[in-house]
Amino acid sequence: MSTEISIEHVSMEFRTPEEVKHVLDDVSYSVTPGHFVSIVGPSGVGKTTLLRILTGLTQPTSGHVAVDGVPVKGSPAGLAVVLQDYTRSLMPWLTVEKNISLPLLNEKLSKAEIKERIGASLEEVGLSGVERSYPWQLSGGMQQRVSIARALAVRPRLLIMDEPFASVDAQTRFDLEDLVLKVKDDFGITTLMVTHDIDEAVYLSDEIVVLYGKPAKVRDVVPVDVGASRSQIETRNSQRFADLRTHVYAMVRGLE
Amino acid sequence: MRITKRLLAVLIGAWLPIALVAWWWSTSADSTNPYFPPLATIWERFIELWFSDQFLINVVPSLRNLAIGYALGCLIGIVGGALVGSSPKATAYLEPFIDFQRSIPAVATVPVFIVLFGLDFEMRIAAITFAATMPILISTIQGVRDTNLVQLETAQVFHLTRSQILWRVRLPAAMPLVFSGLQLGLQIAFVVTIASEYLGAGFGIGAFTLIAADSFLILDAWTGVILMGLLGYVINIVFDATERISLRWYIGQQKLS
Amino acid sequence: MSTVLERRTVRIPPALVTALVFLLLWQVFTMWGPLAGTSVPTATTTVVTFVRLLGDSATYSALGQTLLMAVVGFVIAVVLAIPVGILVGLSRFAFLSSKFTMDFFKVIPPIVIIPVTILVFGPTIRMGIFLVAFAIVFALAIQTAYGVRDADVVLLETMRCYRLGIVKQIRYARLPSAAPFIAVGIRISASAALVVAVVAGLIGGAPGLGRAILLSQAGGLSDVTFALVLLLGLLGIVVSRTVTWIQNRTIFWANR
Repeated sequence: MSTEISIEHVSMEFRTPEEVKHVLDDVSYSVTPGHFVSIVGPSGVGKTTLLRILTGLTQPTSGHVAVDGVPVKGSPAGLAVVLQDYTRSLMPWLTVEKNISLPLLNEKLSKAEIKERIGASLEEVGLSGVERSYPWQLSGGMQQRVSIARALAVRPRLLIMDEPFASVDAQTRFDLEDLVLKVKDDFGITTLMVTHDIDEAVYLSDEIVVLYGKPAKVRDVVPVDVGASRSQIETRNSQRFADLRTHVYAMVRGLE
Repeated sequence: MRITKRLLAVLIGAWLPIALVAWWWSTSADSTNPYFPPLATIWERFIELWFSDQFLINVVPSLRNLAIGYALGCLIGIVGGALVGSSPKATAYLEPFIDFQRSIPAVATVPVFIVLFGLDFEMRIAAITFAATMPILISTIQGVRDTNLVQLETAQVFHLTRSQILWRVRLPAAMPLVFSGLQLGLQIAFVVTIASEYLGAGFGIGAFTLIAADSFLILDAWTGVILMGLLGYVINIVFDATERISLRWYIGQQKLS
Repeated sequence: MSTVLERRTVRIPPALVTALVFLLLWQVFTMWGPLAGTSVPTATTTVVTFVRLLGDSATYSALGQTLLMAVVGFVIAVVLAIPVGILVGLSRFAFLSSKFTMDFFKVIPPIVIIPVTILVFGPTIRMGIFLVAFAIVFALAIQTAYGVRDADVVLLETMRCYRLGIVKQIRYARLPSAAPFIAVGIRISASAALVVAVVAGLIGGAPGLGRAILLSQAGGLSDVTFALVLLLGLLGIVVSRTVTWIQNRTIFWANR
């Protein structure tokens, strides 16, 4: 259950009455099925714009994006998203279970199947027992877990995350990172993540795409060869991890 | 601890109204002013009138009209507001027009409805419905129009249809604002219920009281005024309670932040 | 050539289109439709009557009486409510004591007490003034008290630490905090004053535009009724715009 994504010659311009802002310039890249890919780059470089194009929320000015060879028009099937802003992306008037079942509305599932999916997803993210709570009654880290559970409930082939751990504290962040790795191992979902945290990108990814410049181009694609299994202590302390981090950091800051 | 605190607040809030009623009771006890009869006498008449079938004859029809008109107003206001508010084009065409309608004092529209529908039932329902609809329509349009973009895009990415997004995301998200329109609509509907009785054919609690005043049945007029005041207050309390239950999620969220 | 022409076409505001369509439907309904031959006036008759009323001195004296009741009642309410609100807001005991009582009178619509005011004042200007003041005073006082209580606790404690007396606390902490609340209260009260002044005439028989509508309806002059209601709508807009305009120029911080 994984998916190939191809981004071909994508350029993006925003036109305002005063100026034309050229954000992305001829960006091309292919994601290998089952891979975890991070997109990094300086603030305001257009990372989120590229993600929005992949989700079908924004149309590129030129070039195209395809998922499994099918051009993206509107949101592709089998896509799930996790956004940074969990306080807004979870509906505050719905309980956790209703939030998770929201994307299942149009899938022809029986009540029992929906219940089963909610239970399984919550268990996967380690949050059983909060079905009847409202999102705002939970901590930030738990809310983001609900958001991930909601993404898993649709049994996605492609998971897109926009700075998913930016608004939680450091300890919770490590836990959520390991949760995402576990999900990847369990389901092999192709995952694309935007982050501004280079350590996080190196720790989680199979490959890192560095966007740089105005307008942004693909500066480099860095394969992350620190082994398949990762651990917060050993991986982060390895020499290879440090080298990769330095390399990516230098590119993001325009030093290399 | 919290309960005793709340109890204390209620007790502090209660002494002034009790003192005011006691003051009215004692100063009016041997009143000779015909317009301000002793409160004791008013109270006697109040029980005599409103704890009898007069309540069924005069008050129940008023409340029934209010309920029908308000329910229709809610339905038209919320459904219409959701449909208009989700379309920027419809909003541009209709919102200034609705704004103008609302700037006419609701009571002043009653004579217009009398010209259109005559003096009886249809006129009352139409006037109450119209009065209730306007504020509900406007607040629903605003609420639905200003849905948070993150919520909309989340729904879009998860392949919800346009109508699912409207009824399951935009409208629930707009509910806090919709409720402020519902409250204003209820208050105006209550006023128009009474006004439609003052101006229309003579039945209902409003007509009863005004006719009593015009015929110098001073005691009856006072009991009518007091009953209408109490009704207005009770209706507001019922609404507040309904709002607190319906918007539990919103109130809880506000408390945390 | 054609592009020049296109550029010159004035864009018709959508609201105007709606108003014209409404007038057209009204005309069609009353001339040929189900309302033809009834007492419902046509749009054109109403507009003609409206213009005639604008040239009639009786309209202006009625308008003057309505505005007199609204303004005097409004001023009395403001003069009473703001000092009382400030005093009540300064003490927690006074605030809790009077909150219930003021809330009670606040939600009772003035139309309810009209029968008693007819007995006491008769259908006079004084009755209108009383009703207007009664309608506004409680809401405005409670609003002021809320504003005074909303003062920044840290600021107040800081002032106490510097041994600044109660007068200085009111002057520099309580009043600035109450001001935006009062401004909102005044804006709402001004529109309410006009409405109640009209209602006093329409229901209670006090002089002014309200009574003019009542008399026209009782006399079967439905075109005058419609034209006067139209006039009230315009007047309502003028009043609310004027109050907003004055506030934007005098107390600029009210909109913060």
